[in-house]
Amino acid sequence: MSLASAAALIWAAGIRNRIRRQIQRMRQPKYLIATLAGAFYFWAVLGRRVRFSGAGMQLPPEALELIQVPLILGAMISIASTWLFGGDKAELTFTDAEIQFLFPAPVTRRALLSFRLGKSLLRTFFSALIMTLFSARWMTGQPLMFLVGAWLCLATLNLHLTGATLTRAGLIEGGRFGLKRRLGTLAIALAAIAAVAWWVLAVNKPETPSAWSWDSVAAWISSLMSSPPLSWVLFPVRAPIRVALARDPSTFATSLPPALAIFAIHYAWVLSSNTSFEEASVEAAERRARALEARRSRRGSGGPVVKNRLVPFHLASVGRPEVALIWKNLIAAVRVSVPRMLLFLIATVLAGSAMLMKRFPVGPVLGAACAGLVPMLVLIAPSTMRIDFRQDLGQIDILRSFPMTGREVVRAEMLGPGLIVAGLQWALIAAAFTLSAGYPVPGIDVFDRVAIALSAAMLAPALVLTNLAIQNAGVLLFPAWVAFDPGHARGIEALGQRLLTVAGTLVVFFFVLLPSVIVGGIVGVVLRSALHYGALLVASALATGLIAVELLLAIRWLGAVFDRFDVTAP
Amino acid sequence: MTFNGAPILQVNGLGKIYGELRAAFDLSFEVRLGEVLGLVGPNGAGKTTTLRCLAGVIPPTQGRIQIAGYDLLKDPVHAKAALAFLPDEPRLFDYLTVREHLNLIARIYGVADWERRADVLLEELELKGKETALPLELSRGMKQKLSIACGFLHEPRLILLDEPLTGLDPLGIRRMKQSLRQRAERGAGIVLSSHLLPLVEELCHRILVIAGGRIVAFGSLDEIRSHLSGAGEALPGGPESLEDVFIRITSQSPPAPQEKA
Repeated sequence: MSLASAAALIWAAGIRNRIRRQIQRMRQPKYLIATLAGAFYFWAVLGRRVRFSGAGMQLPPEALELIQVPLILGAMISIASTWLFGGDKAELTFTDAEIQFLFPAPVTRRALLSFRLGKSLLRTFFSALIMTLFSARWMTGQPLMFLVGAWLCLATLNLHLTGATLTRAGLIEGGRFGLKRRLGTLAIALAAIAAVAWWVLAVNKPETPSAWSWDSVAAWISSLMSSPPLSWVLFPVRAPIRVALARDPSTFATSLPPALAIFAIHYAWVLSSNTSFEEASVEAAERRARALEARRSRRGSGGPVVKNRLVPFHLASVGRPEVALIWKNLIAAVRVSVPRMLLFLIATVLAGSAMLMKRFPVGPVLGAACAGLVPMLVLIAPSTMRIDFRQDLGQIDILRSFPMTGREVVRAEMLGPGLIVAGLQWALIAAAFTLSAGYPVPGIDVFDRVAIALSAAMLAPALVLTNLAIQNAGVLLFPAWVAFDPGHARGIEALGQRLLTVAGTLVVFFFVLLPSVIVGGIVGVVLRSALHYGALLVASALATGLIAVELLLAIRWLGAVFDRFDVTAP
Repeated sequence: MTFNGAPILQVNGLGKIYGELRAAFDLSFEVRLGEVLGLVGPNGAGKTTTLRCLAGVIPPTQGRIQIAGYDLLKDPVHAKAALAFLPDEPRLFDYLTVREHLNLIARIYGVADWERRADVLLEELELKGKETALPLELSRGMKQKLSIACGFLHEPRLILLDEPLTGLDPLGIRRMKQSLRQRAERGAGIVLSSHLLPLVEELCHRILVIAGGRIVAFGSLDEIRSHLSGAGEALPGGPESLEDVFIRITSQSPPAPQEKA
């Protein structure tokens, strides 16, 4: 079997099996619903705008001339940066399996390179297809011609960057691209840019900005790019772009041959390279595998482990075992899941409030900012502090082997992030109370303020724990949705899962809080005339009590779910 | 070989079904204190599934598991307190140091004098000097040793090991074998799952061969050999190794139906 037919088999079987697996997954309602939700979102947000051709607003020809400028600039920058600052090794992207099976296979280097190029060209075709779906209609109204042109643009650029990587690495390998030559190349490149800039400003002077119009600027750019020597320099970049922007078959027919020729020259150039890419590609694959493994082992937890040795408290060797898990998760908060987003949020709100300090006294402004952060933390903190089951999913078999009841494990997992957020909230409430203490508010005396602060101090942690319970229930009920694994959901299904998770969290949050809101609301209204703000305290205490009961029931239920949890479930 | 120690693990009619796949079916056996039981079988035989059920990591679909007299399903906390489960891949917490892992385990299992025991284990497993290292700073073998140290810290009476020698260097393998022997001599029951048949032959008193989720042979190597020769299947020459016996059993046993009946 030749490598070409093997490649065809790999691609065809890969696509077929991926589709088959997706369909098999969709037999389970949770995956079917996620896929449908993702597809609906995709259609609602983007799909309705997709049209291939026909009536609709299209860009005028002058605008197409202008659009070329950023495209050309982008291509030139990526070409220049690859030549000037690219890696020193000829790294080409191969998967682990490709390295394991194809590298030792009895095939030539050139066949291997062709395989890699074929894969890249296929990928660029899909990118071109996406671009066509969303851009062809309003740019040219000619989807097929646009598709061919877009693919030629991406494919030629891809080939050029691959060729540049191989050539550069080959020169370095042969000792012909040392520091002096690199600096020389950089100097030549800078000189060329300076020459072009001088030529543009001195020889082809634009009109004064006051006289600029769409037509005049487009005409100036068009004449600039058509005038030698710039037209010669830009020809290889502009040729495929012209194909993509062709609005009629005759323009397309005249633009296509030079673009194809440039593509063919690039293809031949890359294939003729003798630079050894195997070793660097294997190294690159190993690096990717290590990074993937590290992400997988920390699935859900986010960033890398920070090498500090801070511990929240001394863990005694005897006592309730839940404390050990809380201790572990508090360590994780410092070493892995440093709540950067929360700190950023707090810093942003406080910095924003500083702008108001010119007009208002500092104390109440900062106090209001602190008070405003408390409800924000209820919604945001449980999503960002993932030091619970979301982080421990990779080690759940170890948690299951511990001599702890499911209830104990669930309670401990929730309390880790809960304690941190509650601490933050209490600190903010205390700060808000203290900062605003010296500033009278009509109708609210000091006792009312104490009542409001105590109410917030009771309710806020209860709400955070409720949100955390929902997030962790999601992990235990739909573990595959939070798993980081290439075999799990991607694309539309993953998008749908995220949407359903957010929507589900909000809906469950609403229904969980409903009894507390009703009971607390009624009590608050009834007692208001008698107790004034004291009624808020009573209502909050009642609501917190109800939430606490719901949380205890939820922990009991989730504990049972954890006890039945099947670590092998998809 | 007969063991007079009390049974530390009793398994009756254990079965596990994944969807349409029957991974384990009607497994019944027991392990006594001081005994090392080898669990062997071809790939996909159900060894890891069986070990995970025994460790309480996954619930069995049917059957009863008793550890130290406690029913694993009805009284999991007491049952699990007696066991240690060492999976084939060390599952460590990225953000805890070596010593913090041991501290965590000590608290969970209530090991009062954990620091003394930890020092002994760290010395024994050549982790001395690595106490403040995070798992990402350890080699694969070191991680495996840390996982073993965590498993041994609370002196479990039942040790379940899934391919325990993976990643260990020759010295580590020798020490691990000595350690397992010593723990068995001190009275721990051990279930050892491995594809390394010479290791199983060397360490285990009895061997449980499973294929297709069912028990296809159970007993000491001599008992299994004599059972096979009683069936008129003895080969000429000296006593067969476990490898020979294993290949004969697994190649001659028709694969048990894996699909759910």
